[in-house]
Amino acid sequence: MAIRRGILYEFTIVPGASGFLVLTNDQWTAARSLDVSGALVYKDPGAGRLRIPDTDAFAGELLQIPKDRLVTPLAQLDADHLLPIEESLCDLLALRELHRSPPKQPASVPGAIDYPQWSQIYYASPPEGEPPQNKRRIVVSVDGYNKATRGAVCVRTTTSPNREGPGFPVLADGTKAVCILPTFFSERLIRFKPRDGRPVPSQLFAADMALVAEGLVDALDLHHLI
Amino acid sequence: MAGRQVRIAEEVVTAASTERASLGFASDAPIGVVVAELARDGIEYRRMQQRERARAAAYASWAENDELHEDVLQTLQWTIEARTA
Repeated sequence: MAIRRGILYEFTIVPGASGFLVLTNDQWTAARSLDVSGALVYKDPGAGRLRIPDTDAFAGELLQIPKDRLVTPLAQLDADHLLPIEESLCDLLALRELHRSPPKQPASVPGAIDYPQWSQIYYASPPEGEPPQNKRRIVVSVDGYNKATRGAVCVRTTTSPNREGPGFPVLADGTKAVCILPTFFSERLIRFKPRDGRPVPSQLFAADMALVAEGLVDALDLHHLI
Repeated sequence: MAGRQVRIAEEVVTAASTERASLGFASDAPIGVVVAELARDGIEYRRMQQRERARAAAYASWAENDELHEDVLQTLQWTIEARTA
């Protein structure tokens, strides 16, 4: 059975999760792609999770995973069941605000900034035991979500030449954002503390974040909500 | 009802004039043909078709990118380890 957007699979590799809901668009999954993004699915509610209508399951963080981990389909969600999850994605990724002309930044959150922040660029890797990483991760989830979930949805950048197109917008510095595979990082994995080394540039401005948002809309097939 | 039909007709004619190429029509396609096809298929449907074509063409060069895949494998492993720590 071909992997398609909206199919819920059994997925227990990540501790606590019971399923995985594919959200990357069908053209990507139909291409000879090795990976997809979607929502981890849980049996219990929690921060950043949303009940899937008419079920006892809760959709949680976006995660990029290899397609070959998706073996057992459980259900195909129809448009009505997907809609609240899609609406939630539009909110947590500030897609409607960034689609405006000029793009509008999402609201900031009062209080101490002890979480990865929207539009900032960080490195990510485990706190110890791994060699230093130089891949840049752009935080695309809004600060309220990041604070509540103690982590952030990120897209990485690439300098891969001769490739572009929907889902891979070219940013002002010439790098490309890999919007096709957004993924959540726990704050344990994001080097966001002041003492941590930061990439240069360390932040994207609204124009680039709007391009990233357009890439995410296309990657996750959310045009009908924008 | 008549007002709504007029609005839709205006939208179709505007799209036929200004979005001809992005909706997948040849630049020299007669305006009457473009309008008739847009009226038959719907503008949103044509936009969706064009998006899907653009994606399929663009993704062919990215799909088997080992560098992306290695990153996915690594971050999945980190996520699992972070949850078991």
